[in-house]
Amino acid sequence: MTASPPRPSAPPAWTPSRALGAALVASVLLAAIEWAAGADATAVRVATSLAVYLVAAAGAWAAAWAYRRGDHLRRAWALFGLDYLALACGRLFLSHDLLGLPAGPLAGWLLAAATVLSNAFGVWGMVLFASTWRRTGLPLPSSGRRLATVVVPLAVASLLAVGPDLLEMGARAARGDVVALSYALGDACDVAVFLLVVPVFLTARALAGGTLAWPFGLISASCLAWLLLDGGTALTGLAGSPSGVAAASLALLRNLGCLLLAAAAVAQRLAIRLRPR
Amino acid sequence: MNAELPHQIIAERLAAYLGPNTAQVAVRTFAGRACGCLPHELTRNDVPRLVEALRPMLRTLLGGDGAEELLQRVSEDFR
Repeated sequence: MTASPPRPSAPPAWTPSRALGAALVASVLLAAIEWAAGADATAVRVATSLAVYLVAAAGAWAAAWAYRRGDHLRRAWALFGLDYLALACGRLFLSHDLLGLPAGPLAGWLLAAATVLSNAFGVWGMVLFASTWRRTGLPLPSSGRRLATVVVPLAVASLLAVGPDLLEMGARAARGDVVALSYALGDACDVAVFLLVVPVFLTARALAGGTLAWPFGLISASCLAWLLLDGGTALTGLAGSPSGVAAASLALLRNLGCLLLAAAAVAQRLAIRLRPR
Repeated sequence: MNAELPHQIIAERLAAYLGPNTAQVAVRTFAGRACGCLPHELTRNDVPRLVEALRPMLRTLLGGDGAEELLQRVSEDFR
């Protein structure tokens, strides 16, 4: 009576590590393209942003569709897909002049709506991922005290990263700026997501050595990239509008946030399609 | 590792997805809940109850189709 470990029926063209490698390479290449295009190449920035948002959305939906209707993680991945689709829409509305749309209240309302929707879907999806371990019925992988040693520094880092923008947007929102209000809500949602990444990361760590560790680990890495982007934006904002290497670094972090999520989606599909022998 | 005992065989099946540590934790947790025994006390007769107990956890992580396929394979290991 012996059990051989499950193996895929044929060597897959994609593996989680290859998906990670592709995400890293593509992130660097796209940031280099933006850097080479220079500060005035708005169209290039918009195109690369849209590309990474849409790749992330498509990846998330591909992962969702690998599950059956009603499955817990299908809903979580579908929400991430909507999150990134709304981000892409927001980027389009932000560049209304490139689209030939008149600047005015409509573009602002559309941008605000896309921002709010994106953040709502993102937080909801992250709540579902964060609650996955609790739903399994397994004992918690970490004690409350150990959790606190991770959560407290992360909460401080999150507040430092989004704090300056939150204060600025809050002040503008108080003067009736609806877009600023949506950005302020987005900053608050970012803090929530950065805290929710703790249980997601602990899930990845608990599953280490198994195929399911990859998606949870890569989602955590994607969130870390977004946290660094918020922190980097706050820092570069202190020195005026970012340009040159600073702007390229921010673009790299945005690309990583999106493409690591897409790599997580590939890893998720591969994990659940692993066929036991 | 060549698994010989029921809890080792099941843990080895789960380990590909959950990793070796959590696979053992899962067998220990659900063996206790479903069969009221320690993993090394599991017998072939306990396997159907353990499979049932593992189902919700695996459905959460692998989805309905993936969980059923894995559990079917576990059951076949003991036929």
